[in-house]
Amino acid sequence: MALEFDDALVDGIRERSDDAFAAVYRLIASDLASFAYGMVRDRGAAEDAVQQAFLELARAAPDLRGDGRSLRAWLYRSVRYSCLDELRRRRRRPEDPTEHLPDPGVAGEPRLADPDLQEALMALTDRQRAIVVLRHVVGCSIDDIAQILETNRTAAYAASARAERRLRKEHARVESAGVAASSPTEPAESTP
Amino acid sequence: MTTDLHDRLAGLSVEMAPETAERHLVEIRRELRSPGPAVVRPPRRRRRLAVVLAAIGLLLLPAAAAIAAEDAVPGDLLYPVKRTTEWVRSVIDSDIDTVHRIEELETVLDRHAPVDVVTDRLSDADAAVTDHLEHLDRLARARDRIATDYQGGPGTDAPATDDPAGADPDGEGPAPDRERDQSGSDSGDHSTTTVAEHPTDTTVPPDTTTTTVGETHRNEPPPRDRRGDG
Repeated sequence: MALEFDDALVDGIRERSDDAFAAVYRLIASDLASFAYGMVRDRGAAEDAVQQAFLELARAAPDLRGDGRSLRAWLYRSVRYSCLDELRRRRRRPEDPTEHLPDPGVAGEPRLADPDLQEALMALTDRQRAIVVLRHVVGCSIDDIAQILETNRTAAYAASARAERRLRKEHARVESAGVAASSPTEPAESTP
Repeated sequence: MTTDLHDRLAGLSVEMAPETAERHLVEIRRELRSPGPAVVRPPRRRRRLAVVLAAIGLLLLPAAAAIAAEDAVPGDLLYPVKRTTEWVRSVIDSDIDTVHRIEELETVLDRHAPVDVVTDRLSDADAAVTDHLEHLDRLARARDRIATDYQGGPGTDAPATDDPAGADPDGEGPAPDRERDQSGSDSGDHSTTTVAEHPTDTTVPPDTTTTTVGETHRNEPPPRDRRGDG
């Protein structure tokens, strides 16, 4: 998340300028979509969350305070709330477990080389997953994460370390479970 | 986080498709062209604060209205509030109606209100005082029953009056002045005497009536006196 919004751009957002909104959208939409996709593992829901964030920004723009960094954190927070709402909706209704798995055949759906990693990621809490995705998928600094999660730098750093530890542990567990599940079939396949 | 795991996570990044981006921008422009932020959803903390402040306001509003209505007279906007407050308070204090009607009369006099307004207030105050005097009548009748039921009867030891001087200090019989009261002669207590002689008479003791109405109506003749004259 190295991009910065300059003051002129932030002023344009406050004035609800079309050009300013288009510029900010082009600068940050893909990062926001990556964050949302990492949270909900659904491309459509991720894109909806990005659109919703910009529509909310359009309504709240005149009251926006702070600089470009605050604006960027505001957008990430809005996307995060939309993702949390989506996850809550899913938990309330019984769902098809394959419904939100990435489909390699769909154009634009990211091809994850390691589905085990994705399963491990979904085993984290929503907050831990947000931290891991912000840090390693989007590339946010600890300071950025602290601002997005509305906490201090020390707490964000500690939470990030805990989340990564748990991700490694979950990844190892999923991998070992996968090996155990696939090993009985190997002798059968090798026996003609 | 190992480099390997980090690299694998980086594979989760998504590029926004151009057609999706264009669709989003159209929606955003439409939102920007709308008349303005119709409903801006406030941040969660601010919304919570607004709810708390609204609750406090709802609690304080009746109290503020009751205080503001204290000096209201009929015709004022807050007069119904004042009457409602009085009704609630009258449960605790039965004299509240009389006192307030008199205060209203004094208020319109202070305001130099037209004569018809003053007459109305006077009439209300009269009625309130009359109601109040009805209570005094009942009290007088009750005192009469005390005088007849408890005075000198066999086995009774209750005093006939509140007069401490009339109490029987040594238990040897009624005091001389109490005997005089019972005979109806030479008594200073008009209420006891009058009601004892005429059990159905609701005439209020003259001393009590004069004092109350005289305070209420200043130079006006007391209504009970007028009724008695008629």
